[in-house]
Amino acid sequence: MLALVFMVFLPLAWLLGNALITVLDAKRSAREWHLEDRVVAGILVLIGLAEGAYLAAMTRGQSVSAFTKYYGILLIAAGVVCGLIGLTFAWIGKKRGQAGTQGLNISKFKNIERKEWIVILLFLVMVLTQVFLILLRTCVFLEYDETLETVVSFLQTDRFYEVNPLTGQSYEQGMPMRLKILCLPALLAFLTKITQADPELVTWHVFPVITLLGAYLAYASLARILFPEKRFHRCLFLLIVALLVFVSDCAYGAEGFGLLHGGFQGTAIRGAVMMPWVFGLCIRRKWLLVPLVILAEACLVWTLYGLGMSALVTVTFLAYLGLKNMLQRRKEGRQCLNS
Amino acid sequence: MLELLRNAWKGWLDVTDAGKLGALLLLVLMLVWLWKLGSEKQKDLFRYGAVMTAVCICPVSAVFLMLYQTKFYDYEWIWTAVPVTAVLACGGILVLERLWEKADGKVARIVVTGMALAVLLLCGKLGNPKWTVQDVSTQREEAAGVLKQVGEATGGIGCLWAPKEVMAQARSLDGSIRLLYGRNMWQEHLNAFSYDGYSQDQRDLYAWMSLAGAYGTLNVPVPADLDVVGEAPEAGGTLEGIACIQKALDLGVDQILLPGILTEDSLAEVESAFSVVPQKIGRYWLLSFERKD
Repeated sequence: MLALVFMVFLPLAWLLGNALITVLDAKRSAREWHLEDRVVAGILVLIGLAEGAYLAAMTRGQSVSAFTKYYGILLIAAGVVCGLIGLTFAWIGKKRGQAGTQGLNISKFKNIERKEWIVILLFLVMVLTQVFLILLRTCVFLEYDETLETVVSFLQTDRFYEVNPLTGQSYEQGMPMRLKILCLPALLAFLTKITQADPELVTWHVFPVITLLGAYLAYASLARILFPEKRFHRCLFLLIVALLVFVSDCAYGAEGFGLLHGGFQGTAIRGAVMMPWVFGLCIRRKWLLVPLVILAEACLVWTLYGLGMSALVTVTFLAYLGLKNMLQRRKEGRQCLNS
Repeated sequence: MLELLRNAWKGWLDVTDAGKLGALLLLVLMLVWLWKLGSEKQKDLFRYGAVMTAVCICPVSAVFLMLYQTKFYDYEWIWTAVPVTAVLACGGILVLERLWEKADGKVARIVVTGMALAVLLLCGKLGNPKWTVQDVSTQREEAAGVLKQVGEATGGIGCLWAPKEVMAQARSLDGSIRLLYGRNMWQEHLNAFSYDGYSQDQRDLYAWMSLAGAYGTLNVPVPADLDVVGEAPEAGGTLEGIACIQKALDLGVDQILLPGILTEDSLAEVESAFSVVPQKIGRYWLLSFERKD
């Protein structure tokens, strides 16, 4: 089941992300966007598609089965369309003699130094330990969360929020619409339904592993931005991030805590996958993809009418860059006057 | 507003109590600034990180961030806007690189690396029990076993009232079970997920079940320091078991699991009051009534 999820969803995420990036930034696509960017962008698109299918079913009072059908159709259609887009752009690029989409390039592995291998090995050991900890233990922090109960209720009643997930009784006064529109429980119900697996396994174990891997992809992208020329530093960066996941398992709200004890929560996905990627987008001044993150965040966590942390980060970063440019211009002006 | 300011300040103290990553972040930011480390892109990250860190530490600005992220989320979550991990990892590498340059010889470099690693590890949890998350698989297995036996004994569970440890797991184990109250009875934050609340009767029943499990009697005195969400039953008074069970039946309960600690006299009293024979299920006594649905 786990293998199925990874074999289908990660390549699908790459396919969607690849098409999106190729369409939005075709000229610099191969040079400036990498495999990890494409997968993270694809994961965000998958979240967006889930939200679309979920809203279509939920607002019309349709069943969880209907949502599963809609989302399945959307995934297949998006996969086919994005595959065709990717192939078309690859063909055009080949005709023009441009480099193709960046993917796994085996020749890159040949000239890795010994110290890099050691760091990579240590990093992989830490990531595998984290994966096993998530898969084998049931150390979940539930004080603020009812995701599993919600998923179980969806599957039991085949309806969205027909009963209060915590009691199984009908709602008397209902629940806030701002929570009702979030698609994460429906996405988990979808995964449970198509894999026919135990909801607990999908919600508390398999999905958090996807979140963990998504987080490392986002940090790998950030590492490439911060250390473009130094591969050893990139590897070291990822190793320290892996170490920090263990170290920051110290309090509710910390990144490591979310990844190890609540990878199925929207806040954990936002903190560990979306935010590092949005930091990378802002540092690179790649504003075109920022709305995708803002929208995906609004699909997963309760935000101020759609304005979440990624919007705040972007605005703050833009203000910082504006101030920096202004100061630089003033400095240059002063230098001109002095000379 | 004052309450929010207090929460913002208390939140920062809580964050630093649990680990010292905040302090390490400030140290790294200070070192990269003093030693003028980093490329332009790295400096962008550090400067942004420094500004947002200051915003999150200062209670006044933190309040605005807390309002922005909606009151649904606690203080901890405003730190999502701070690239803590990225700054620590990137700054850590630059600081380490500078220290390696200064270190004389391979041994000195290994010592520097080891000490940096020790600093990082010492900034973590260090066994702070506040946020220690226990493995709940045993509890879940036990609850699943009990629920299975209850289901077999009664031909299907309807509306259940049981001690906290069973109620906490029941809904996530079996979606067909209905409960008299859910986890939000004792985990206050979960009430934000619904507009529905609990009646005083339901809160009394939760208090009675918890106290009966502690005292082992049907009639239990209400202590002054009873930890319940919402209005607690009157301290010093007594919650009577028979009345509570009757109340639960009136609220639509079909099956009741009583704590196994209850004495034989108490069980005999229940048997005569409700004409139902308690059955032993694991650590509990099951009272099964005719289903009302």
